[in-house]
Amino acid sequence: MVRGKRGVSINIVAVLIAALVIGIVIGYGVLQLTVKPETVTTTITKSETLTESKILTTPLPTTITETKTITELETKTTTVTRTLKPEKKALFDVLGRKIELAKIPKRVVSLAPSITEILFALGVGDRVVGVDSFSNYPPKVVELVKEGKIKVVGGYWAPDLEKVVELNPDLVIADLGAHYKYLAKFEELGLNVLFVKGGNAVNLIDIYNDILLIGEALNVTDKAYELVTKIKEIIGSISGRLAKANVTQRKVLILLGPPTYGLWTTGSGTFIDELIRICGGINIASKYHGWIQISREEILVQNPDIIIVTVMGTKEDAVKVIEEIMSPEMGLDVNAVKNKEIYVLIGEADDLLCRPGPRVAEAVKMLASIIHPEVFGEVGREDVVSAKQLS
Amino acid sequence: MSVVGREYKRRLRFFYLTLLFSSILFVFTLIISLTIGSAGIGVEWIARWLMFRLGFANGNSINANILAIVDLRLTRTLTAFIIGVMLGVSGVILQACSRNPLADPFILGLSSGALTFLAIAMLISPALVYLRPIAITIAFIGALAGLTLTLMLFEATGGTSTSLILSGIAVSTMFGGLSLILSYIVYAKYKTHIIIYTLGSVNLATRSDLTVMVVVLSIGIILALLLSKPLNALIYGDEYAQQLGYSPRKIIRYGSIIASFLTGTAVAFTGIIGFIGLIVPHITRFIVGHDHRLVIPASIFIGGLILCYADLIVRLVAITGFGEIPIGAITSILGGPFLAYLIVRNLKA
Amino acid sequence: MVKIKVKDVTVTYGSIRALEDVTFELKEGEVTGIIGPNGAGKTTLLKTLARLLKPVKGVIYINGRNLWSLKPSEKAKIIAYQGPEEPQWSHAKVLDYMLTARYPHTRGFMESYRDIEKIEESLKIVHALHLANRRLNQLSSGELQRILIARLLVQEAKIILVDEPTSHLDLYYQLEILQLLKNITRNKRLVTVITLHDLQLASMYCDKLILLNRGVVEAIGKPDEVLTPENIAKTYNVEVEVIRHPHGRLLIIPLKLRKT
Repeated sequence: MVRGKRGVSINIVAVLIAALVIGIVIGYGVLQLTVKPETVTTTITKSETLTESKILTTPLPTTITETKTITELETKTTTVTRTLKPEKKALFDVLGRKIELAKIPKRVVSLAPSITEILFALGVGDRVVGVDSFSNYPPKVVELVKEGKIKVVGGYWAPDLEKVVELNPDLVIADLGAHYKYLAKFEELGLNVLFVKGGNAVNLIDIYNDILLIGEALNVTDKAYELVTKIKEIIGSISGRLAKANVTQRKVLILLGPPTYGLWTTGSGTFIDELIRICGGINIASKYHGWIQISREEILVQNPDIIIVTVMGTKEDAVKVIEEIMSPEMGLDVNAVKNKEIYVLIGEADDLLCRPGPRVAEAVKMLASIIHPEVFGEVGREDVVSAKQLS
Repeated sequence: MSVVGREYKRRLRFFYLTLLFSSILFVFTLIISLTIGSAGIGVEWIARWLMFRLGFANGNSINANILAIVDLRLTRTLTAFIIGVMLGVSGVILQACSRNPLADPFILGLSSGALTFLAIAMLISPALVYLRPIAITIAFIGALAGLTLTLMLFEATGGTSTSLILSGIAVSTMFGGLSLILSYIVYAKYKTHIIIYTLGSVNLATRSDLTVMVVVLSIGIILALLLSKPLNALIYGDEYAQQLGYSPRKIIRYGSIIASFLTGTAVAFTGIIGFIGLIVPHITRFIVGHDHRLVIPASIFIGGLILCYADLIVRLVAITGFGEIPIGAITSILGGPFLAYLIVRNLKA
Repeated sequence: MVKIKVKDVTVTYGSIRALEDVTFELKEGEVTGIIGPNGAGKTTLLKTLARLLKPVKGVIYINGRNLWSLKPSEKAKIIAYQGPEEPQWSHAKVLDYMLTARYPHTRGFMESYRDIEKIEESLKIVHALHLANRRLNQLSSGELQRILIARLLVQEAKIILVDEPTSHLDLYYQLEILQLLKNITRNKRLVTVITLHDLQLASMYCDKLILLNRGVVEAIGKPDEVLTPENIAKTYNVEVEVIRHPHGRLLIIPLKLRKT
């Protein structure tokens, strides 16, 4: 009933604050509660001799000297010198973060298809326990996923953090281009994450560095050097042949995806741009920077000799794209259209060009054949659909 | 006793009941949210997690993985709740100040303004944005800028209800375009998609972020409550509020500041999530009536719970292997039809 | 004892002089009607009394105190104003609306016993207690008007200013509202100022009339003093005949339009 002059009922603010505080404190406080700390306080001062992990330098020393000063409650100071076993090593990823790997990683998760390719190319595929949904090479990966020996942890752009943690990995290898925003969360989850350049690779050196970095993390540095050397050899021989044949450079337009998605191409500062150069081509978009859209006017002005389109689809889709590009409505009155030098890369060819991984050598081979068939022969791949094939 | 007295007490009792029910629902939602996620974790592990976190069990009963995953889920749910509250309360204030049932933080340009300013700051120096208090300040200024522009355009176009929404659409679209361009520039400069939060995401906030958010939220709620009586007066008319002793200008000014503060913070942590600010005030008013002393507290739970459930839907879909849809997509699917209903009802009246 | 003293009040909208040197005095227990043609400045005068507009010249005293020297919250306890528009949040319930009128008097965040009492009392006076839980947009025009008057009572002001209390109402409700106003003015010794279009009603229910013409006070006084054919012809440009009805009422009969 009514109680006196002031206040028909309790002050609402008090009730609200109580309800809100109860709710948030329950959840929030539970998070903050931790196991009771130990009673001994230890201060550790580390002195390490490390050299930064750079390409083509001597490997890391395998011993790290750690000087530990233990201050006990009675403030007695003792000094302990300990040599860490060679299993522990530290290296720096592309962000300059120091990664400490307690042992040779046995459970590795790859968050990008190019990273998966590198891991398998280095022969450590048996240690991979998780990949992203786009990882499809080598074919063994697809098999292992089907068998359940490797789990899919989400897409390239949106990895599923729970699935990653569930796999209890020693090491997660992430792609700077797509996963940088997860950094804080990775650290909070206590995951050991190594960032490689991946989609952010601006040139071949970046790709080589990624391979070497992963090789080092997985303790197969030798294999990594081998792989990089092999790739360099193949690419070197191709550019050598091009130089000897004294070819004229041809103007190339790369289109990522069919024109209906927009005229996306790769400017300078992308590894695809470098691939084109190596293969004796001129990237007409190189005056631009990064992954950008180009206008039809610019294409007309530049007048490319060759158009290469990547399409995720079937041969029929490829044919449709060629017809679209050559159609009068498109208005691309350029050499490439006149001479039917239009090539659509589907399936594996698409992956080859777009993945900054160990198959760049294949990509270079393929591109070189497309751009200079007079030196390397026609590209005879099923997954490269040429306009000349259509009659 | 008196008719009025009975009615007054009845609505107050109903309000307390609503609060009680919502808090129980909140706790319940928190708990079941722990069990929902793409990693398969049995209920007994959740119980063990709880025991461990409360200090009743030692580290042997649980492994670090499960700990991390359940912590992840809890953080995520709490983030969703807090952001839902921020956007919901902002919506209540904006609808009251503008006397417009279609007003909300996104449509009046606050969210897009905040995002644009954050993108500009990121361009100048990423360090600015990583320091949370600075990011919040920048987002706040951006939100306020967006709202101010909308209000200026609103005055210039005749000051009717429709012109407010149209002005807001113009401003939010412009800022949307700006932030898109800026995101390209940011990408070109730093070679990484740092913050392109045009469709928000609650799963990136860390526990330390939560602390900051709770602080902002508490301040915002208290200020909003202090504004609740003035808002009650304002909704019946500017002149009405004036003759009651209030200054409508001041109320709108304070309301704008509080709404920008809350919306800016929400955008700074989780990007743009639409429609919450639109539908929460309506649902809340439907349940507890039109007294803002009741609406604002109730909207806390309504807003928080709605976004929690949207996040749960996102997680349920992720379990099926489809991947993580942006939470903005869910709120749009639910909010769009609701908006259509509002427009129809508005135009008929 | 309440007294309003208006002296030489001049109000401008930019270059338009809406009110010029308006002077009069009002006392409690009386209903004063402001009449005049469209654009004469009736609403402007009422708003100025309500302190919604500031005069560029002149002064208004409320019991000897300058109106503009009062704190807004003080003023709200003394003066209550109802404009010609309906409340703009029409989904709210009558009770919600009523509660806000207590804000100048309510101490603390929630209402007290006294506040509830006052609302109950006011609704009873206007015979609208059964409407307490209705939404504002579910009321008929007559009901809404009674609610608006109830709100003025709830605000417990000594001075009530109502702009066009009878617009949109049929004859029955017009009379009902004006009678209500007259009764409460008498019973509670309020100062009530209303604006009216209908001269007939003005003569019936107002104790005092202020006839405005183009911002200037044309005449002040009792209805039969103000409502003369000369005054009406001068201000409304209409020739009329004014008859004293045996029942004591004034009858105003329009004859013809005057050429301007």
